[in-house]
Amino acid sequence: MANALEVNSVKSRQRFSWLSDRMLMNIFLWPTLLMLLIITLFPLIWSLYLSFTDYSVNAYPSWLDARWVGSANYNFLLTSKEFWSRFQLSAQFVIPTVALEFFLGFGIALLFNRMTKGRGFITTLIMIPMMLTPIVVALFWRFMLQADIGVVNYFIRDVFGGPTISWLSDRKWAMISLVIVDAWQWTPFIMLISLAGLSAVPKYLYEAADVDRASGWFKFWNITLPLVSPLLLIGILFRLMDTYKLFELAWVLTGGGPGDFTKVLPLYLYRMAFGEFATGKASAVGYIMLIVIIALSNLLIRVLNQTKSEPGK
Amino acid sequence: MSKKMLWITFSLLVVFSLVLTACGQQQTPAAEQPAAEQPAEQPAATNPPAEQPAVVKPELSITWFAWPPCDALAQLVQDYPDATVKVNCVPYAQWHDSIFTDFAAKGGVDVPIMDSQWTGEAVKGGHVLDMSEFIKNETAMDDFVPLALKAYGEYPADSGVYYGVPIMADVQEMAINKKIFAEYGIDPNSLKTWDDLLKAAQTIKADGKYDGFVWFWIGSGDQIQTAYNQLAWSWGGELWDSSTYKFQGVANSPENVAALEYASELYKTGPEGAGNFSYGEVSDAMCNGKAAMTSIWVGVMSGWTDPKNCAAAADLVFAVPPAGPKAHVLSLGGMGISVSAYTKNQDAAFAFLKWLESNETQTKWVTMGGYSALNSVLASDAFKNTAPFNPVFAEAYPLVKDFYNLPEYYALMTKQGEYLNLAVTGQMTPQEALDKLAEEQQAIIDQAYPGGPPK
Repeated sequence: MANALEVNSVKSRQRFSWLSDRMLMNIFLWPTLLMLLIITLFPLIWSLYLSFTDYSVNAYPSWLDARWVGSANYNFLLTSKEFWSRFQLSAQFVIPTVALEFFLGFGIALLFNRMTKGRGFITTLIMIPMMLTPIVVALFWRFMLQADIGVVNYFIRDVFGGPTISWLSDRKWAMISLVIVDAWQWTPFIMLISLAGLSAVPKYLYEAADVDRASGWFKFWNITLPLVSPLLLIGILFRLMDTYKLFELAWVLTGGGPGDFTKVLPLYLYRMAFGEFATGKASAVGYIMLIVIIALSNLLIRVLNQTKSEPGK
Repeated sequence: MSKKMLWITFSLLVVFSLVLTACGQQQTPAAEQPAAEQPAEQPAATNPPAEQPAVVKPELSITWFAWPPCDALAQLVQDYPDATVKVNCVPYAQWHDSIFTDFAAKGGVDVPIMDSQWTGEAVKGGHVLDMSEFIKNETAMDDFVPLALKAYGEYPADSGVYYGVPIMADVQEMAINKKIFAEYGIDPNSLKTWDDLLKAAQTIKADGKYDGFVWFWIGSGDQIQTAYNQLAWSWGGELWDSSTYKFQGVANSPENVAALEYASELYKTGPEGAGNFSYGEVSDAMCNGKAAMTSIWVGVMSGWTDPKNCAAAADLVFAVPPAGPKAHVLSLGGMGISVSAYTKNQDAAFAFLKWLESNETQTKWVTMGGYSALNSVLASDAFKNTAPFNPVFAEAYPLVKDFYNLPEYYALMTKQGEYLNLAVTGQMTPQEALDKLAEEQQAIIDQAYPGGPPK
């Protein structure tokens, strides 16, 4: 039996002797690479070209009719007050949201890290918001934040005697509402990443610190934080990218209102691309957004590399 | 060719065949092939069934937004014998984008139902077919409410060239909760002017038990715009000068400012935080008996007469919205139906529209919750007896007026919605909001027509 198998194996080897490892690699690699080229690189280059034209996918019979306008779209955007105010608005959303998610997520992870019983169960429960579709989250929060009949105001006003807050229609509160809802959904993500980082910190470091009678703060600052920070930075990087391109929550919760006080960049881009069908300008907005996010990511990746190269600092 | 090259070529072929498969049109089963690909003349049904070729119907698709008339239309088209018609009821916020994305892809929907302001945009892009001859020869053209025919499909204005035919006439009507009115000793019939209405709404709101007037104040779509426009027109204002393409001095005229000031007072009589209210929230407020009145499209009110859907159904009475100090004008609602320039079933689409616009089908349509623009149907008992708000419809519809039907309408309307919303909710003064609106709308138009209005 063993001999028969061996003979078969030898035969197979002889039959496929021409199939080298390198060739096998090519067989698996090329289709994937080509697919990537078609579905990722081509649209990227194509939209870059369109961003230098006055093309409107809706108004022009063909892309051949588009006129080359050079940097006019970029000039228009970079000198447009509205475009910059959309940028500011996006920053007003991204910075507090990521900060809130970071502090809450990391804080909860620190607490959970000390738990011994039921940690897995509670972690699973806390992760539920993250598993929901953003549209669904936005729809039920829209009901909950309704000023008149929403459950949030019911507690604030009827239970605690506070004022009625127009969460979604008052410009002071609309952005805060978006921050709260996004933080509700995505804090568990930071918590999960932090928990993974905290679990990986070697216990002997704490034991050594205990021998030296180090304070809790000392242990946190000099052991926990440096060792968890690479993972935390990755979490922050993901959240930065995600919040920067927030669309669903703003679309459903406020529709960009009141007025245009929550019309963040992706909403501005969407309306330009699919409302006005100004494809050329919308491509330029997309590219500016892409450049900003690449710059931000690079910055964080540098910090991440620095942290990795100086462990335990 | 070396074996390495052979394998690379093979891989490329696999990828290309995958891409082609993904991009290619789905093969429909034989029974669903378009009529054009089948023998044109089928013998009469005398052959035994086994030998008879399958009866083939062309497929047509309609895109509209999700609301009760869309469901009614989906029901109605089941009766059409000569094609399989699929009605896509997309969310309201995606309605425009869904149709125009199909246009951009030069495919998709065969017979889109478009809002009246979109005609210019669709015509400019060459996305819809000229229906002038069809309307003249295949429909009861003289029976249409003239304004409806012009508003739902004519482009440019007064050109006599039509790109759409009315499918859904619509206008706002007042819905009044008579029980709440009775509690405060107010006669629902006393609301002759918008001032009467405001006083009644303030009286009801004063003790906080009920909301006086609820409206769709949200700035997106065309919601707050169609609410405010009828006020501006009734105050004697205009949105723009269509002959000179001027917004400055028109959109921010004293009449418009007064109308917007009125709107912001009216807003205060509604539920708190109603600045993001859309049709759904207005329906809830009226049907749960918390709000005393609203002015809303009849198409939205379809479910309001059924106590199962609307707790306050028995208490609601309907009326024509009141007049303003200078005029009695209402916003035009409703839509026209067009034929996509990219449909592969052009003949079938026109044949379907001929059936849809026939008096018989329109009469059935109004009994199912639709609204016809045919005078004879609007005057029929079948229409008047279908819903308690239908007799009011015939009175209100002649008062309608539409707003800018320009290819740039989307940008103009978006700006209008944003500033009106801020002014009504008290986050900007009406004067400041309309000044900024006029300035920004003028900039949009100046950029689109640097040489002035098209000749």
